[in-house]
Amino acid sequence: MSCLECPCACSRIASLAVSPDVRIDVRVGRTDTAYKPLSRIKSESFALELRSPSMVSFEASAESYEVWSHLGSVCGGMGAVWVARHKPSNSQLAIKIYDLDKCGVEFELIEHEIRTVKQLRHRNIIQYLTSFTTSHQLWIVMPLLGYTSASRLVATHFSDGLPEPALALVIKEVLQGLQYLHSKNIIHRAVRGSHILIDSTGRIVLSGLRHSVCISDNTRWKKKVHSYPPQAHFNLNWASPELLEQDLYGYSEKSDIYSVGIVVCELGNGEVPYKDIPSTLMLLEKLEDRIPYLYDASTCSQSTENGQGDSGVGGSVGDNLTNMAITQRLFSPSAHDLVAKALTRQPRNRPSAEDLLHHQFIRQTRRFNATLPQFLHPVAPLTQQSEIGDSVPDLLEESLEKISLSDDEVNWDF
Amino acid sequence: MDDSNDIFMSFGAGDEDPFVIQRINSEEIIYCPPKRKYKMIGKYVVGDILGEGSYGKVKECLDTVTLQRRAVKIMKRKILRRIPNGDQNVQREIRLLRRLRHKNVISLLDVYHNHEKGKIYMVMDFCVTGLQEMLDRAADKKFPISQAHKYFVQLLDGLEYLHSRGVIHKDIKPGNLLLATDSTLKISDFGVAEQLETTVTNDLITTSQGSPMFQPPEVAGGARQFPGFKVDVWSAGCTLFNLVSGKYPFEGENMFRLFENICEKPLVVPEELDPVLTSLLEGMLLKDSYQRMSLAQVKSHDWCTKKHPNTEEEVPIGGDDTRHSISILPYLRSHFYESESEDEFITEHQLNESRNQAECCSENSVSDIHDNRDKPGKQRRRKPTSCISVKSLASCKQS
Repeated sequence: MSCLECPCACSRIASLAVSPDVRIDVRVGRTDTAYKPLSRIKSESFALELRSPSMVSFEASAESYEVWSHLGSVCGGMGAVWVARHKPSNSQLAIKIYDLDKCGVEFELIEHEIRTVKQLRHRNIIQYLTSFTTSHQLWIVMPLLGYTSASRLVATHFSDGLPEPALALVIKEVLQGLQYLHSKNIIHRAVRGSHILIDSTGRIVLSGLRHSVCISDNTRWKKKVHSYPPQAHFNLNWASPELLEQDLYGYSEKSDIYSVGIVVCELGNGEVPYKDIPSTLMLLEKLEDRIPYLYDASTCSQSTENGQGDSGVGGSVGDNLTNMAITQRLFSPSAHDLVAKALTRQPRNRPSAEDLLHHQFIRQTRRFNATLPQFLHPVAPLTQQSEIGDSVPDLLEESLEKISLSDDEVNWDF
Repeated sequence: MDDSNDIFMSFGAGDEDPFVIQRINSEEIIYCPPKRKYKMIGKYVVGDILGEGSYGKVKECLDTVTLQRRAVKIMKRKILRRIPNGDQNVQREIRLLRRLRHKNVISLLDVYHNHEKGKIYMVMDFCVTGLQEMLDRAADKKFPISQAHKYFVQLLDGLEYLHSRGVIHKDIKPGNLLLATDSTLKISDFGVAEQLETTVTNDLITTSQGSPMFQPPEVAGGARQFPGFKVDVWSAGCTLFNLVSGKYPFEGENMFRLFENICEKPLVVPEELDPVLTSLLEGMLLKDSYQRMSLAQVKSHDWCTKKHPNTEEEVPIGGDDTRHSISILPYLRSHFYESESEDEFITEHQLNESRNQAECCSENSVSDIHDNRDKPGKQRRRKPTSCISVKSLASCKQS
């Protein structure tokens, strides 16, 4: 993008930015109000609905925010997420900052994301507080999600995968979010661990909606979508076979369910299936219906004896195989069943998000008497420090260090 | 089964007895199916042939980074030199396409040159079919009105973009309008297109070498100079005429006759077409290029802006192949799972067995076959087809 074009681009973005007078309760733990899913909400009415003394308004100007520390990069390096403080309310936030000069085609996608997110309201879908441009940067202000993303959690603390109860709780809310999106005829197209964010209460929030697509056309209803995602290369390992196949049959919202199956493997095994193999081989495996699975004593013992995985690369067990923790643990049969069902090759035989919410693996969460943070113990959220003062930046820095990775290879993405 | 399928062959080459008829067991006739050789052009894996033309072949390919399906046009320098303006047209097409980006214009993603083989590769959007191909398949060589409208408005969008960039296509016809899997129309083949100089304020051009049937009177009549954008309007008019009626507005038994008719014969629009459409066709096919409708006028014409209920069944994009699945898989399979040296042989006997089996299956249930098509993974072993090459006939030697 040339310098000449920049002001014009900024004004375009400014016009679609969330209206600055939207008021949202940011107090930790109070964000999970059960909002009625509405396709379009006027900012005024929403503001009225939630107006109370604790409400904070988020100004659309950089002066109101103090940017602290770097959390991660987004959109293939086009931008970064920062922990920040909202000065007037003294609350912690996350700010996604894009460098508009670096964005080319991506700009349209970011625009699409802001517009889509603005139209959605659900406790499991990301919400932006405000967005605006300052000089050549685009700032998107959003709540700080204490446990960051599911994939980062796995990479930093659960290298063998999340314990099953935690996995079930995460997947349940992911499915709830998807059920809502699908009811709005939106296909997420990028369900993956790094797009599953977890706030400090354990609430799951789906992000990455810049990859999403609407099933309805302007003029008529289409049941199938044929368009190939513009940034598909980031999410290939999670993509469904029918999306990758790019034939005349197209794909539908069931494509997201396949991705959920891959996510269960990703978070359960500690690494995404097809990691480190050529993408063309991954394509072949998926189209020939060899599916990944959860690694545990029931699925890995055979392959350890043989020395080699038997069923192709899809479920190829990486370095993790040598890990005793994996060969000694056992996922419940319902967990294995959910993976197999979600990874059904034929979309029409694959369950919907609603069907999976009634699956035994998800239903077991009703019996849990602990919440997600308790299952994630001893990992503490970034926002644990309740007192906000001068010392917080240091403390945050400390906890960020604890949570940060030794290597940057985990491509994580707000 | 074995004996009944035995093949008898006669050999007259022997000195001893020229009339010996040797019996060959079907187990001994060996075929080798054609190898799907894994080949890369840049970052693309090459697949099956999509089409062939005078300039060369178009093959399907797959981007190994994004896994997106693409098409690659492969041209040989040697052949291009033999076609009038061949090399020049290719260079022009490349130069033009590089500057264009619109959803209704085919995009050129990469160009590779292989100097040793003397080949040029142009990687472009993958398209399933062209309008001409669909028309050929359609019962009365035409589309239902709503389907024709769907494609025509996309053609107008694409043309509007091209004209805004100072590009005159000059060869608009159903054969150059391709469809992507989501039935987005893509204007293709910029071999004879012209880029107007940016300094020029009018669109006057002096040459056009598009398809004769779609040429306007000013070209057919040999005018020295004519407005370029109106050439595309005329050709688009001829295309619309063809899409809705299955006929051409002007025909002739030879080029001279055809051009004469284009210049002089009054336009006759088939009576069954509704008056709004007739007025549009008449406006687009006005012989005087200055009075002919402009693209903007065409776009705002009632027929283009109004909705057309789809009452008739659409001509399917796919034809017999309702799916048009990715053709790269066998190539990937041979690359990843079959070693290079290992040749696969199939005997006549096995071939007959598999044929019989296939027949049994088809008799048993039609739904079975349908399922099989949906699951390419289950049909791992490809069946040899008529194009098998005889690798070796083990018992052809005289004993």
